[in-house]
Amino acid sequence: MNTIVLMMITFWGILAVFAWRLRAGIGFLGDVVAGMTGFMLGKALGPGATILEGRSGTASSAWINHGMIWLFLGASITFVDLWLGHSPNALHSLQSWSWDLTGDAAYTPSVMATFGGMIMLLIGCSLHIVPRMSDKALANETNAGLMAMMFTVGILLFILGSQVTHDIGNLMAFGGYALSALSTVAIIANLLLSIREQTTGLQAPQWFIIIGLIGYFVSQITFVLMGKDAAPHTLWISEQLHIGMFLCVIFGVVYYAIPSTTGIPIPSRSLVALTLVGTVFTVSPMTYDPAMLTFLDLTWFPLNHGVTAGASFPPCGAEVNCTSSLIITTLMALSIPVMFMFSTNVLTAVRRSGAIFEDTALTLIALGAFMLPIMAIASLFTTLDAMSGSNELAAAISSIRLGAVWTAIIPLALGGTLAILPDVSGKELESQASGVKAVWFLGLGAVGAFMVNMMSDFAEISFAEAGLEEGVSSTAAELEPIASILFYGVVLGVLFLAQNVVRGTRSHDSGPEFSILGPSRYVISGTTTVRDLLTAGVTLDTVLSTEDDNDDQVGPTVLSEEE
Amino acid sequence: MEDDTGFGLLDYMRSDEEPALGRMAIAMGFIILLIFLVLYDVLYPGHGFPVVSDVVPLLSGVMDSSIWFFILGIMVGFFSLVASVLVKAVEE
Repeated sequence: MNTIVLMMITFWGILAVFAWRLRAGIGFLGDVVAGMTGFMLGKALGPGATILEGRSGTASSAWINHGMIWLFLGASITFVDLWLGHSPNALHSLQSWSWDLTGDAAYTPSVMATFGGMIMLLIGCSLHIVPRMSDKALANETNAGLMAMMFTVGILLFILGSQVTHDIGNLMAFGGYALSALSTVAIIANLLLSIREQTTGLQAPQWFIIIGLIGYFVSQITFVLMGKDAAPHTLWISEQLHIGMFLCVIFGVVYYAIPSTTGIPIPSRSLVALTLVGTVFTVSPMTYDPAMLTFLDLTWFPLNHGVTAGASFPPCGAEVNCTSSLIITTLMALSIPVMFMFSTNVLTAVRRSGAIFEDTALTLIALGAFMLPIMAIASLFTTLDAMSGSNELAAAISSIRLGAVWTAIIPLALGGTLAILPDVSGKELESQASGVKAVWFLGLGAVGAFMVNMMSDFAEISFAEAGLEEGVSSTAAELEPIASILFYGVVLGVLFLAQNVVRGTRSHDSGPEFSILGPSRYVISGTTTVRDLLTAGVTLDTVLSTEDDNDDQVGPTVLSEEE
Repeated sequence: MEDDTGFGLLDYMRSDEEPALGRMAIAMGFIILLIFLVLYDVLYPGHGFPVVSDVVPLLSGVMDSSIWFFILGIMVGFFSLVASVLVKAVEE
């Protein structure tokens, strides 16, 4: 059977078996596995298990705070990488410290810091959402808090390793990546233990989060199972599945965050279910970039002899038969409607809340949801162009990857996180008005940098097609610094948001409005169904009121009054 | 209702219990500093500023790209973030 078809069937098969066992349980083995896992997360750590106090909610806050700082560093390093793109020797003076930060040396750290920060935010949200929806406490709060430190050390080690030449640097980087992955495995075990005693069925956000986290590792395992010989064909598929699984977790967080923040349910439950199925059964074309090979060389360091070398989407008819190309192309194209489903559902809910441009989190979510389908379509063009082997759009791939990450993926992850932050830590943002200003910085910076980069890329493509190579450099040289400077807005935006989070004021001294059992009060807007209410987390003890009775405690009214 | 004054430099420099005329005092400080620099240049034309003149050539050899201005901003931002984290940690 064709390698790529086999890979996809293996990926879906493992996930299907996992989902089936998640619903049905694993019988008498469950107690044994749960006991052993609980021991490994707690007592097996020895004195380490007593380092942190383990108060409820601290682990989630720790992951989110670490994530905010890494995201700021990720934006900063990405800015440096963009600058080095047009002035490769701008930081040559650092060579006096034996630090060769020239050319594309900042690319790999920028990827690790950005995605590391984003994953930390998402895990922080998961540690809050999954136990809350199961009406249970997190299985081991102390272990989850410790894993935040371990993940941070992992990112740091990776970045340091990527700056050290020779094999020792590669080994450090791989060690850092492995450490981060290991801490994520511990988090998954913690979450699974937390939902073990859940009496009701898993709710949609829980499915998104758990399938997304598990799916990341399943795609890695599938890649290894396919073997070294198939690696040049399967590596990129594995990477694109990673992005799909990140999106799956992000969708889960956003689908939970909007109802819990605004008190307004997600408009269509059917679209939520279709988004889940669609995310798993399609392949995302987003963030494909051949430059990522330098990152993958480090993450697959022990296997790099022939694994990443020459990895590409082979064009139809060359090394891979046309069936594979056709299947992957179709799966990528099918992911576009999924993005539209998510975007429509989320934007409708945000619009109904009436709090856009007043609430920081909802504004970020709206930005991300608006840009997501646009970036998915743009990515589809560049990725399929690379797959077809024509490479006519090769010059635009990096710009579209950057645009997809900073105008769609990060705003959604960050917005979802900020939306549930008051519920997680009991602290509001220091100022909603400053937060919205920061979102403007971030949004205009990211969209501006993306557009100017695209102008530069297409000028390059046009000049190359016309055979005017001399003109290319001058046009690009004028536009690229502008794009870099515009991207500095993203750095400032993330910094201001991080400051806003850190300086947040404790506003829930009288107890959080959302108890572990669900919202204590809920405002109904228009007609609704019991199913929608249950989706929003309403329980038998929640007090329902109509919009007419709305006081200052719930939903957009609070946000608008802060102005 | 909180007083939202944004993220201006002066807001970082003023404490919560700053006297009412604190902002004016800081502004006057900057003006006096500028006057002093102008006065020095008038009194000692052609002479470099003490200390500053020794440090600037050193920096010009190292920070010879405008990216350093942006990196300086990133460093200020990062350390202000770390400071905020530490202050909050101690406070709680």
